[in-house]
Amino acid sequence: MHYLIRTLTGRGRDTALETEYSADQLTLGSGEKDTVQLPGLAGQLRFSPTGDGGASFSAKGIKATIGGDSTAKAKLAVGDQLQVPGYALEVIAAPTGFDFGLQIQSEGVSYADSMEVSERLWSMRRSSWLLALLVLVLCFLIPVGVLFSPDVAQTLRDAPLPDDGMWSSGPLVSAHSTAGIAEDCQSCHTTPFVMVKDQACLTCHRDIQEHVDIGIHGAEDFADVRCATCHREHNEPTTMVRMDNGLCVDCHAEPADFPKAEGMAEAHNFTADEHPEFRIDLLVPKGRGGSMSWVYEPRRLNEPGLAEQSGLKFNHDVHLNPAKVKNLQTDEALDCAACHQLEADDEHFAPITMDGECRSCHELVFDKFDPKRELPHGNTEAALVAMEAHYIRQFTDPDLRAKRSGGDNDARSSRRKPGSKPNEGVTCNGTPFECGRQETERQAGVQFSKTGCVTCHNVVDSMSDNLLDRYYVQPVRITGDWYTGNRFDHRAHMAFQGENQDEVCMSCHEVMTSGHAEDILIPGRDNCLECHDDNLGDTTVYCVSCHAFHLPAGTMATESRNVGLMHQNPRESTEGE
Amino acid sequence: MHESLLSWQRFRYLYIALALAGASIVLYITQSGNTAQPPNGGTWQGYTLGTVGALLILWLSLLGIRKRQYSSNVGSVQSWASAHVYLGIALLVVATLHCAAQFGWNVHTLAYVLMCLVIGTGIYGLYVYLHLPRAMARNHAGRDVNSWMKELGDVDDGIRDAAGNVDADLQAMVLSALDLTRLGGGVFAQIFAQDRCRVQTGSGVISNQGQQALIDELSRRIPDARVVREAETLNELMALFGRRQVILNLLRKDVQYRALLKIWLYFHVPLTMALLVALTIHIIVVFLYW
Repeated sequence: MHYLIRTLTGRGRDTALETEYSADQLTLGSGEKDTVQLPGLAGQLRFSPTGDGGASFSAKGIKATIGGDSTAKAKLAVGDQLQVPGYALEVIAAPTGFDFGLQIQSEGVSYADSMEVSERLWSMRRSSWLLALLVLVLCFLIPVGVLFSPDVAQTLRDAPLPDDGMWSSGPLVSAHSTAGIAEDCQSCHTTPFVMVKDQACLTCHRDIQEHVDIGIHGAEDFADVRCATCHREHNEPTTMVRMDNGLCVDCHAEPADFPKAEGMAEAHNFTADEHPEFRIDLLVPKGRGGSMSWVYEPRRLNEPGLAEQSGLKFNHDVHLNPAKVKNLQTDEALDCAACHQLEADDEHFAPITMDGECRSCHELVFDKFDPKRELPHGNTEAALVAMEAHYIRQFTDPDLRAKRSGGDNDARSSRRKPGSKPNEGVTCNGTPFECGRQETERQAGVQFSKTGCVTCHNVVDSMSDNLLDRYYVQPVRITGDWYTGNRFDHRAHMAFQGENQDEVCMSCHEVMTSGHAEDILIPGRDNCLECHDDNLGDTTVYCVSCHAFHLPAGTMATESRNVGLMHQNPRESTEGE
Repeated sequence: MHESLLSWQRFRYLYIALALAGASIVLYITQSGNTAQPPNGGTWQGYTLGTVGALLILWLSLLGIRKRQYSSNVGSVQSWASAHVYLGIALLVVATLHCAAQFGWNVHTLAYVLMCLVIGTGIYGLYVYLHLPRAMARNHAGRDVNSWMKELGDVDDGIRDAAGNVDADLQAMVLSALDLTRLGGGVFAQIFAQDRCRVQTGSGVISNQGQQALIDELSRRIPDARVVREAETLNELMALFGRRQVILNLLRKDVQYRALLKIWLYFHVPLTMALLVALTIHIIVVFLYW
């Protein structure tokens, strides 16, 4: 196709420059490939001749004004005029040999480019809508899908799509940053627009217990307390576990507000004036004879006449005196660790047992003629039966019987050898059964009332004819935990100044002067105040450094938090079934 | 004397804004007594600061409506603008204390960032409103833009006339310099006053920044002029292009000033709308996952 372009130049509008072009399509613009250069034109104009001297016109990136209308597409005939910024165009009759003719007039200087920044920017309305919708869709409309179905939630969270994770107000504590919780907001935020319920916490923390037994102290005092009242998630720095004294003294500073909490003393701080004397958990025997048991009774350490009632006879002072008691292996004085082994919790000590700590010295031998034979421990009847079987066998075997009665001159003599025991080597002429029973009865008298059992135990002699029923050894229970609701780190305190471990132990536990098992050797408040008095300003302790909040004596949280169960007597409900 | 936006009513809103910021700081500090949690948006102080901040944002965005209500007599627009500036900056304090500077990749921080962008563009807007009008007036040198444009047209006419008297090569070059002159252009060209004028030479199109290429060509030719008339014509062209350079620079500077004066609002307003949406989502979501 051949085109004639007439460009009007110069000031005289009649001066023109005519140029011929050959191309499939006539394009005008400022781009390199455009057939005719129109410098500064923001877009491209295209003309395709229609054969009658006119052309079909289209514009890209720009609009032309044709007869007062702004358009990007038109059919043009000879004589039609177009206006584009900077140029006036007119379709002219193409001379013979040309398919299309166009006259171009540059309108003064071709400052076709925009001189108004607003012409080159999206309108404020348009960008406002776009930005606002973008935020709405990405930050709300898509993530909100998680609320409608778990499948949608899973899809959103798995795919690289915006999900409700972007609604998190801060990082979770590391323990909660775990599969099943971290990415699933609804594992805690179960109901929209409702604060996280305790049940959400208790789903995992099944064994956690309330602060107190709510059955005793009144659930109404704790009615508005949620787990999250103290345990605040999504915080920086994390404050999942409260350490401050406010946690405790908010209530404990005013015991009068909690009349049901008997014995609760006023506490503000750990000083002599603001903290009461410690309250130990004293094991107190209840009931008599076989129905006896121990119960914990909270007692203040400054109560007069307070005594441990373990049922054991024991003296620390003698056991720690090397002149009287020595370690069998080292032949040196006993140290604390000979009997008291710290457990893995660094707070408690392994229970003292006969076999573990006592028996190596306190053997239960009873027969001089069989010095290695020992009585079983912990069962009176078993001990008597064992003794009886032993003696019957001794008197059944003729050799042994002879040895007991005749083989030894001393034994036959009516006079005792100094130092020998009075009931040894007694001659018996009855049947082995009679002699065995007789010897058992006598030996039992010695073991249960003179030496042996009675050394450490309280024994009641009922004077019953039946030997198996005659002696009752009171049960023993040594206190393993004086402060059941509290914590103490023995290992940390062993770093305390002192030459050796025992000195550190004895700096708190006054064992060297304790001659009775009834002595309570657990230290009280003043001992701790020596270092931890808040007035001293250093080695400060918080309430929760020693006091656990979730007490072992507290109600199981899962039960008490369920209001439905709390007002219902569990016995009634089982009877109904 | 014109009373500045800042000193309006003897700095009344400056004092109000300072009082607001001061009260917010005091409120924030009282959070340190709360040992259950560190300062954040979830304490009662945090909720208070958040409510104040949200109400401020709402009120600040009402300026766009108020300034169009010419019949309204709820305070003068100048008064509103002065309060808008001071309280807008105070909002930065309120909102930062509300969130206790805890940030993350979440919608809450998005709202904060959008707010900061809005305030930042606003501060820029304030700066240009205070300084550019004077600079523009100085640039115009007592005339208006149309007058300068008209002079540029006259200069160009003069150049076209004079160009008829020089050889064809130079004529083509001179005329192309007129045709390839650029003023304004895209957003960046306007803001940075880019001079993208070009000129057609025998060896191709080259940059004619500051009309320098053409002026250089003319000055190269003047010593070689064979006849006096040619030299006169070249000198005339030289003078005209010198003038042209001055006018073009002035106009380019004017375009730049006007662009700088307007561009910030094209961010300030859309970002405000995005902020209002993000703020609404922030509030809903906080209580949705309470």
